[in-house]
Amino acid sequence: MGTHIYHYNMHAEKRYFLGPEHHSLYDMIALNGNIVSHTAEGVAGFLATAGKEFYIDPQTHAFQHATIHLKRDISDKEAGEPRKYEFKPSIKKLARERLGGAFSSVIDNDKPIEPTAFLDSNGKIRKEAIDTICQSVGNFQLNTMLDELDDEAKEFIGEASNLQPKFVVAPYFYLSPHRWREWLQINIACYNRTKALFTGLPTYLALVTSQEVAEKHEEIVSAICTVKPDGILLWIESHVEETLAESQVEDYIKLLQGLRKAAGTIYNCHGGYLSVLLCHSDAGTLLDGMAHSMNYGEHRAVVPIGGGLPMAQFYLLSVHSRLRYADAASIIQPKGWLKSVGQYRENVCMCHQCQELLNEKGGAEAAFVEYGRSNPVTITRRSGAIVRLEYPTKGAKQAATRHYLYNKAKEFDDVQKKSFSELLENLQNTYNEITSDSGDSFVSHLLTWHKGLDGSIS
Amino acid sequence: MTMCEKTIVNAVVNALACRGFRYVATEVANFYRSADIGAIDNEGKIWAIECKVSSIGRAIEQSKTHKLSADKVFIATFRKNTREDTLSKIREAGIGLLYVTPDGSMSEPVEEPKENSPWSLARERFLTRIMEGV
Repeated sequence: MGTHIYHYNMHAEKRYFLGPEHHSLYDMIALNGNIVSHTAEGVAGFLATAGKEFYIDPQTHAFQHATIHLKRDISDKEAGEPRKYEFKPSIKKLARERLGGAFSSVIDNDKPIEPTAFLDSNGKIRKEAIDTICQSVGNFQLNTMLDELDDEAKEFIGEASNLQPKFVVAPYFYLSPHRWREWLQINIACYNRTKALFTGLPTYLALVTSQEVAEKHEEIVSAICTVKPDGILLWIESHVEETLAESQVEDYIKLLQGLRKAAGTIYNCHGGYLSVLLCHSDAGTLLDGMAHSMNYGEHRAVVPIGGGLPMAQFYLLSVHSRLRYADAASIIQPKGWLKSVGQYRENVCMCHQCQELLNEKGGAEAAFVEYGRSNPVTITRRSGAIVRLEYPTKGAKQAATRHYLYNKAKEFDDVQKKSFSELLENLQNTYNEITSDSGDSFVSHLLTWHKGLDGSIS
Repeated sequence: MTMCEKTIVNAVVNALACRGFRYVATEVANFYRSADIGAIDNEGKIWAIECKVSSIGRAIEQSKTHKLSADKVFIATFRKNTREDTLSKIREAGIGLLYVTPDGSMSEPVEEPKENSPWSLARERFLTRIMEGV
């Protein structure tokens, strides 16, 4: 069975991790280095309550991009001041107090890390530089929370082993399209050194790559085969599974088939239902698990991008995609699936959240409307143009998040209980059923996944 | 919205008012999109209109959301020789097409929208947004 991992991005999301109704929906917690560094005690308390296995992503790649991505605008907008940036306090703390060395220099010099920090003029690894960051990055993951706790908190949390991650993530850098060979060489050196330094726990290699580089899978796999890592954390940048072409699905599978020969465990850090299917034993268990966030996170760019206005969304289980609410309604309503509770439960969803709404509101239509509740907002764009949009209510966002989490758990459950061929057939059946009324705009990925999986996995 | 699009919006708003529409509002929120114009004709039918100088293909996509909420959905653009394949996409989507001339007048529909059956709750919600915007 695939390990179902939740990213814990902010403390406000705690409610979706705790309590009997949520606790059974997932297996492991992925913490980001920033939140551990900035609020170590709060994270320790949360982990003690959650009682789940976890790992800490040290986010070392963040320091190789343009430093603007590590900063915030502190200008007084109301006074019309020009934009003025400074490093975010949490990033400063992570770099200076936790990771040190080359990471601290990024803050001091306001310049990103380059491969030359770890490679000499002949392209050989500078062992001392690698050793320094492996020590600090490993220690950060193993000791930060313990070091921050006072005696009272330690007593509350109990055994120190409750705050030990399942594995240590070696320092890693993004395999950018132009310098990926240098970064891969550095990542492998970091893996080897971390593995030697921290013998008590498994060591994982993070493979964070652009889609372009991921397509050169043979060279990457062959380099990784030389070290046979205990585990791999895979993150293909902006890998939106719903938009992949058939050839890209095949490339993804080939990459995983290659990595499968090299690594003990492979987790995809940002994946959707295609990745869940690849956890199936009939598919060769190409993945051992997959992670996503509360608010989706099934794909992610390496460099943070602006969030924009949140919009009401609805995860339609049969389509295995989180659709904008109106798009989901444009499929569900013409099909007549809102006419009765029975139709809704049979065709749309029978999760705990939907059932609660069906009971509370007394009908399918009234229940579904709750996911689209919104308030109008007026936005003035920089051009001066005024746009009126709708902003989901807090209740609608919470209901949509819970509904999403129940459905993701169902997908993992289905992969365990149903045959791979049945799951593939379901993709085709849903495609046929929905295109007959609504066209294939929102379901074409089902056919692409079906073809890609059918062609690559025998 | 560009200045040119604003010209189209103004022309359509004036034309609808002259034709005795009960309510006409601009920039009407409709789910996560904004309809350039939302209006109620003298039979009580709700219109949603997307105004575009170019990118008619994008307007067709945007209009699909409006079909959930409005009785009639149109794209309005400057009078021009719209390509036949674009026209057939508009027909296929069940959307109407209006032309605006440089003097600010609006044509009768070049393409009539198909009879639309909006979702009653979405229609009610769009109606509320139009009334809020008048």
